[in-house]
Amino acid sequence: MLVSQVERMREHVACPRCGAALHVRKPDSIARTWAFLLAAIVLYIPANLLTMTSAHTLFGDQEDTIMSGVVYLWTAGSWPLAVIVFVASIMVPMLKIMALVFLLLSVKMRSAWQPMQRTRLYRLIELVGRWSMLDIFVIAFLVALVQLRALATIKAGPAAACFGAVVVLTMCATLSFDPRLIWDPVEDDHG
Amino acid sequence: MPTGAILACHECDLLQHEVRLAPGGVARCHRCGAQLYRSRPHELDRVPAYTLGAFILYVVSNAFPIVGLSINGEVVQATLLGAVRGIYADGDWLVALLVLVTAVIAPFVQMIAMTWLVLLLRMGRVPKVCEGLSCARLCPALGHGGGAHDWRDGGLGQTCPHGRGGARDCAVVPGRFDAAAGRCRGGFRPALPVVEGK
Repeated sequence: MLVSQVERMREHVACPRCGAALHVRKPDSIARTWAFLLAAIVLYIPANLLTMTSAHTLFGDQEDTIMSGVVYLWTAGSWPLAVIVFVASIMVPMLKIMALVFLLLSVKMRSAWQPMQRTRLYRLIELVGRWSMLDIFVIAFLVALVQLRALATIKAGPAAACFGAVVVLTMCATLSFDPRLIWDPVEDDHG
Repeated sequence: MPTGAILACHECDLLQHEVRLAPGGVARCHRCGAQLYRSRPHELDRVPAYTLGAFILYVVSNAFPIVGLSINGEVVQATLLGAVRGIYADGDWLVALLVLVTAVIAPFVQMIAMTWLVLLLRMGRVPKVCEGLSCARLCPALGHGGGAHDWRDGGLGQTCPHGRGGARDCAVVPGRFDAAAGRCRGGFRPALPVVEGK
């Protein structure tokens, strides 16, 4: 149908010629994406610095951040697990944030560089989005399982909530980003 | 074969002719490759079948433990809701809420929404979210097939026995429309989407 270049269009608008309903682009896409993204970046710091799990056993207490967990797994010899946790919990959220910043900046500069590849990048971020939530589920079950035994307890630390917030916020940022913006400069070039 | 309607790709906004698809076909954006729409036979049978299957597994996955731990013959198990309750009891209500919403509530809402959508379509009604879809895209889903109706291709007069007149070939692009000249700057030549499938 028609392409609406009108921003901040909130109500249903009809085509001035044929009366067909017009589609609205995602409203305030860039501002909203930045807002979610900045919040995610801020929370990414405590998610990595604060304790993710704290275990209380007969042999003493142990508090773990994500990174110390990775190091523990690595030194304990289960390096495949260490790699999985490192990739899923540290690298993927960071790469996601960096990719979104890159997309936002390229759109802001009205870059016409490789729009297809940038669209692919956006689709990839969208696809990866919900899978980061797996970490939270793992912690949830760990806590529930170990809690049932008297010998030891594991509690989720403040980093768990921060990490969950990072995942949700980057998902919101991805959703509010409008990939159409990537293609606008291309259209202007071709006139 | 173009139906006369023009549509914009929902990912890159390239304007394209709407073409009618053979059953099983997929129309992709000419420029960015996004799926524009598809024609799947028996879609209204397929969706409830998958939804029903999902619902049965949903009940099972919530009623039975998901993980178990066995130490010295002692077995501990946790269900989905048990895990949520455990975290909540720890005082970490934010994480508990996150797990509850993403693992328990969201799939349920999705199943209800799919059922509602299919029920409405089955009753021959067009839900609000589907309004604006033209016959070429809606009728295959409704099981009316594509091509059996009284189509008048090209321009203003597509008619459909189900009352779904598609968008008309309207060559106005707001923002580029030059009112004085009565046409769009830079011309207006919609592309043809890439059609895949049978």
